[in-house]
Amino acid sequence: MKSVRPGENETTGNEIVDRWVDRPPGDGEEGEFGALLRGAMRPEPLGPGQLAAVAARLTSPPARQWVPRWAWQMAIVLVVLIGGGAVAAKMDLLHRLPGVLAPHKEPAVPDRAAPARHRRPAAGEKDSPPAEPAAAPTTVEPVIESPEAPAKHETKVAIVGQPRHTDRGVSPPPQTAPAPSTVPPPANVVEDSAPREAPAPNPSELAQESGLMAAAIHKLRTEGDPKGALALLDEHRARFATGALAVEEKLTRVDALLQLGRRAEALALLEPLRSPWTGRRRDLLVTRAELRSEVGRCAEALVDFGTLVSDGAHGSRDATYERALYGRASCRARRGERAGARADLERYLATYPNGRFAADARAALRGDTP
Amino acid sequence: MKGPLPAGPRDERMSVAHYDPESPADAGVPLTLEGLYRAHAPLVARWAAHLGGPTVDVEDAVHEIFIIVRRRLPEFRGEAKPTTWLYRITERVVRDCRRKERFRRWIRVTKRDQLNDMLVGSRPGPSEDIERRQQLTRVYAVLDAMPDKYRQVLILFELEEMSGEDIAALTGIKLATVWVRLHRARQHFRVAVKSLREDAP
Repeated sequence: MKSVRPGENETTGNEIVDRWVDRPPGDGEEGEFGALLRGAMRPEPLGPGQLAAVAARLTSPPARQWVPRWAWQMAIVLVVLIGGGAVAAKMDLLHRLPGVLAPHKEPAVPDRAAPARHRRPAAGEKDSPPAEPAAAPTTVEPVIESPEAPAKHETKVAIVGQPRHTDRGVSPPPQTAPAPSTVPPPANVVEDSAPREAPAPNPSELAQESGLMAAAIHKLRTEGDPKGALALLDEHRARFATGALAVEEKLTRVDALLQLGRRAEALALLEPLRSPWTGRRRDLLVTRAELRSEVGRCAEALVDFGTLVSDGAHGSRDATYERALYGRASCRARRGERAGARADLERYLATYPNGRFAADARAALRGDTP
Repeated sequence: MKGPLPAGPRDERMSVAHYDPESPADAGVPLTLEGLYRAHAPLVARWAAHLGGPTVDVEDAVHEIFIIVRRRLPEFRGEAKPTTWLYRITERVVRDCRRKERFRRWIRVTKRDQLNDMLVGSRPGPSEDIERRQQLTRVYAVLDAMPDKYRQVLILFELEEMSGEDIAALTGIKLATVWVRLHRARQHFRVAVKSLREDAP
């Protein structure tokens, strides 16, 4: 077997994980799978020439101003919605669908104002002047209760009555609106108005929110201005308290506070942090542990450090693990747990002989030597 | 202990950002487009080739990946290693490419000849061309039949020959999860190969 890394245990329980690609072709089913997979290996899919060509394409100035992807997507969605609405209105397609507007038997009347609207116009609506939107719902009651009423009015109810509140925001709820028991809204009416008028999550709001977050991160990371970043984060919190990026806002705030030396506030933000300890949460956990250790809350810090160290014993021994191991040693030493601190330091030096705390660890161990 | 350990963490340790130019993986790699490209483009190309399979144009994928790198570099927060960050971008770009490819196939825009052209990313010689193409097609027919999360782990373990630990670090999943997914991926692989055999004339 081509070992993954010398001395490393590639095991799942007691089973040694063997690569199929290391099996010889005649070695049973797995040998066959290995041969199959070896055929798919492409160690150098791009030669130096192709890599140079890509580099040249990258370094050449962009032909046009870059437009964010979401802008394209929004533009396409808008075009489709507006175009589709306009076409549907022009062809009066929905009127032709069976069951959508059952009582409406009138032939479709082309509406000249239709393309300018985002909702389907109705034949009865064309006579209503746009300046009197509030008057429209008052016609609801008599029309719906009387099936014999002119179809023109029914159409108006079906299309305008419900959605007008959300559409333009200009029409107050109709004072004379019928009680639900007396006016059961026909299913087809809801069906007709809901898909177009139901307020979907506003993409522009999300775009604004992510733009604000991007600006805050840029301020913090690129401009090195944590105060400016905090101001933007405050604005974000005020405008999008329950926004989609609320968690990201909090994490960025922790960074900014740490850069400003406002550790107590950063720690307060990190206090409620809970498992699972994966990805970025591990970084935050080690930061919390260091902050707790700094203010003398070693017992709690030890719990955090211990979580990360035991996790690192099975998983990734990255910079977080390194910080946790050294931090735990530091905490243990302060609590007088000399044996534990010494063990951690020795483990640290064995794992990271040239680590960032290696000199300090050696000095501490020398100091501990009787 | 006689001498106390250095008290508390130092300021630079407090940053949540984790790009560490002193660590062996990142040593000497400047966080610029050029630096990242110079250091990691061959690796990214290999990832793209292995994850994407024969239908993904590796050159275009690498170009797209580094366009995203150029755009996102100012926002790169360093919470992950640059290689991890690059892998995530590669994974996303390749997934998009595969999705587009599936869509193209679905609407039958891709003719058989075009597909065959795409099967040869590195343009080997004509004699090995057909054999290699068939081999690639067979393997990816099997790999594409399994869920992405299993496919990804199997590819990284078998084709990239990465350790479980490295796969966990790169993909952000736990080591135990890596093994579970690898185990299930192999089960899928077995079943798919058998089914292909049975379907073969």
